[in-house]
Amino acid sequence: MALLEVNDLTVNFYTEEGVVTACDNLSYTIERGEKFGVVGESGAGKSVTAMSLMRLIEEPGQIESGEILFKGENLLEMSEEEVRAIRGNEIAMIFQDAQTALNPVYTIGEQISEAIRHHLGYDEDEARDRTIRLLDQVGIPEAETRYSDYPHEFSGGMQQRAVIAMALSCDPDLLIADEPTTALDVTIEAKILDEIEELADEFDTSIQLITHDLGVIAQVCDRVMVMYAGRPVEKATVEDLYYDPKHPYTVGLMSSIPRIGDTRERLQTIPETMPDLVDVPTGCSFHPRCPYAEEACTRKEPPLVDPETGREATGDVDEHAAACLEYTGDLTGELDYTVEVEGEDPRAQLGDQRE
Amino acid sequence: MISVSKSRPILRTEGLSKYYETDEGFVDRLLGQSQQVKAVDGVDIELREGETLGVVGESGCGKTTLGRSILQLVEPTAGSVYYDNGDEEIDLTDISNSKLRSLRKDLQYIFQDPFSSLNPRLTVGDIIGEPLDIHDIAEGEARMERIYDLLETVGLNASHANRYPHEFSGGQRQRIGIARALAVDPEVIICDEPVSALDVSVQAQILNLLEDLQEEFGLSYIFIAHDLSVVEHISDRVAVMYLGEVAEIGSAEEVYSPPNHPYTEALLSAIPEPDPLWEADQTLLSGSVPSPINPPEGCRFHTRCPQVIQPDEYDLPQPEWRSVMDLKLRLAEGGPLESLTAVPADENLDPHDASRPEIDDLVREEFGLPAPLSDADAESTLADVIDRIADEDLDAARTLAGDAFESPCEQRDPPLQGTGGTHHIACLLYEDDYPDPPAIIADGETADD
Repeated sequence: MALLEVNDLTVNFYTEEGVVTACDNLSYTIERGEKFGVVGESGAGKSVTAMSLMRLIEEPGQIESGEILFKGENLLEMSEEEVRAIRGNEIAMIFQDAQTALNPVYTIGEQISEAIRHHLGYDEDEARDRTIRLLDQVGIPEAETRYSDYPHEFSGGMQQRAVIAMALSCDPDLLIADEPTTALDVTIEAKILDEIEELADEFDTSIQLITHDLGVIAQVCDRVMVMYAGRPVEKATVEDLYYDPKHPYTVGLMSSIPRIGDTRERLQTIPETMPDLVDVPTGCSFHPRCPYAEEACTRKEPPLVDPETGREATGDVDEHAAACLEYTGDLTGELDYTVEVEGEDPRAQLGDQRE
Repeated sequence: MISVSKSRPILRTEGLSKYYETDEGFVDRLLGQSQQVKAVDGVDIELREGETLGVVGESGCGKTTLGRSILQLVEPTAGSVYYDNGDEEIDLTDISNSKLRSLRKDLQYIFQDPFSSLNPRLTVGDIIGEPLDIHDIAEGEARMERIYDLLETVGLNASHANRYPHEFSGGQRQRIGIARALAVDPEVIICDEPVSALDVSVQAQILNLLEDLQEEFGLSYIFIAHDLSVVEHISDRVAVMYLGEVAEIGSAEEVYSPPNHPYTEALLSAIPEPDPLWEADQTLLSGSVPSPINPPEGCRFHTRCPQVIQPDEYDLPQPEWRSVMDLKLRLAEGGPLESLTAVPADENLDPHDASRPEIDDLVREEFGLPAPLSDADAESTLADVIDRIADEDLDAARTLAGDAFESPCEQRDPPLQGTGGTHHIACLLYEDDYPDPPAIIADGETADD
């Protein structure tokens, strides 16, 4: 049994402009010990998936349908009390902005040991000891002396480490990291990502890593889901996704990243921007921006299928699935891109070339 | 690319510095507790006509303050900024406000945050029209024509002129900001993190737009960003800043291909590659960026530098020497005993009651020091230092470590010096006294955290 199984999750936000479907029939699974990435641009619905897992969707948002099975039990059917016992304990979360995730009027140490006392029933001294050990593990120097520092006395990187320590404090089975390094400098980012990876292995924790940065996903994750306008457009293992992307949006994302040593004069871009979710285009929601779009794409919504066979995706762990009409035989043309992987050069170029 | 003219640079700074006072309140002033934050400290850079000069560095390195003090948006503490308007070189720090105001036609700025940099109460047309009014460039019909033109130049529609900023996405707002900067037909635009708030697909659109505009209007850019790949893509030359100073400057190729400054090397190696099988040989820096209030003596990077130079008397592998330096610097911070020891595995062990061998273990564990060090002299000094730590005589340990483990990097501030071509670097490894630096760096030694 998978640790987490999300089935047909749909989340709506009832705004003044209209109904926003932030998550549309989303399904995915995370196995024990697995590092699962969710990638997409702002507005793709990445964070909404995380908030749903924690049952933190608030007005005007509403989980419409679907189920979230955590260790076989449906989180959406639990009482508030049952969810609270899981939240922060078995499922923990790291937010993008560490500064707002920490309470400014409590010391760092107190905030972490509070969670330990609450969830694990430790007494004051035990909780303090465990906290210091955790701070030390996440790479905060002088953990004992910094236990009684307030959040403002920590730098941005240190604050994020403290948040990670807090998330790991109760040995969670699942760690949801929502853009954990986006606000940090690249030198600090590298260290934090290393630490998240190492700690996850050490504590045998599964990770759902949400980010817009394909580089971060490549470094940390085993499997990836690419989201666009509230829907998954491609799911694959990292190797398959990066070396053999099947969806035009994935290809577009990859080719728009500038890379060191890249000699292209101009960057390939995806024209226009992500549609307003109040008014999602008909058919394939990517068709207004897709270089290969045909008339069929404006009418038919592509299902998530196996690109080889065109059969509906089964949700198997190693499966490569993409939601593009190309693979259901509805397109007359071809997806005319090639992926170049330079094996010998470690800084392999991964770009697409179109005619 | 427009060819770089060999003539005088269009914009040039000389010893440009901006210090902020930390005294924020009345009490601080009364007690005279004022300290200076050296945000930008003696920066000399040149911008040639038609080129893009990238400025990169971590947050807090002074890149934004540099951009703002060049345009006199903040008043520099010292130094000069020369702008060549074709006839004469004008020192922007030394002219009247009205003269400066008229020169702003030539020198424009694009801000990082496309949300706070546009007035929400003005229509897009009025936002772009404002500089036209201020500089008396166009009125009435001609003004509207110009606004429509500009909107189309940056990839928007003329019909957008009557809308308000909140109706636009981040990328579109950044285009409006660019149109506003272009309105006065400038020569130089300082772009301060213009794409860092944008999604990757939109980021690529804006980068392409900036390049197209440069070609069309012959603009010169100073492009400030924290993202090294973006800077490499758009820049002809790159300046790497660290704690208010330029660590390295040269053509993009010179700066990005080794050998280069250890700081640049660390920045480059830290970028996560979008390639799952890419085996990163990452150089992780120890510690965090020091406070610019009292920047480190000598080379400002020595507190984190993986290549920090050893004194002649020792012959330690580089990571060991880095660890020794870390211990010394931690001692110098003057923290209590706990700040020098690892958290003991045995929960009942209090460092204050620990025996000499236990303290030895804990100190070595905290800093990743092997027992013994590879160099006998260094080991015997280290043992003496640990003896004093075990005696809880931290002052004596501090003095001993400070005297015995002193890197040349702490004693001398390396000047920016040429290495051939247009490349300049501020690192003692490249001075004649230290003959073989490139070899050391090319080995790609990595330091543990």
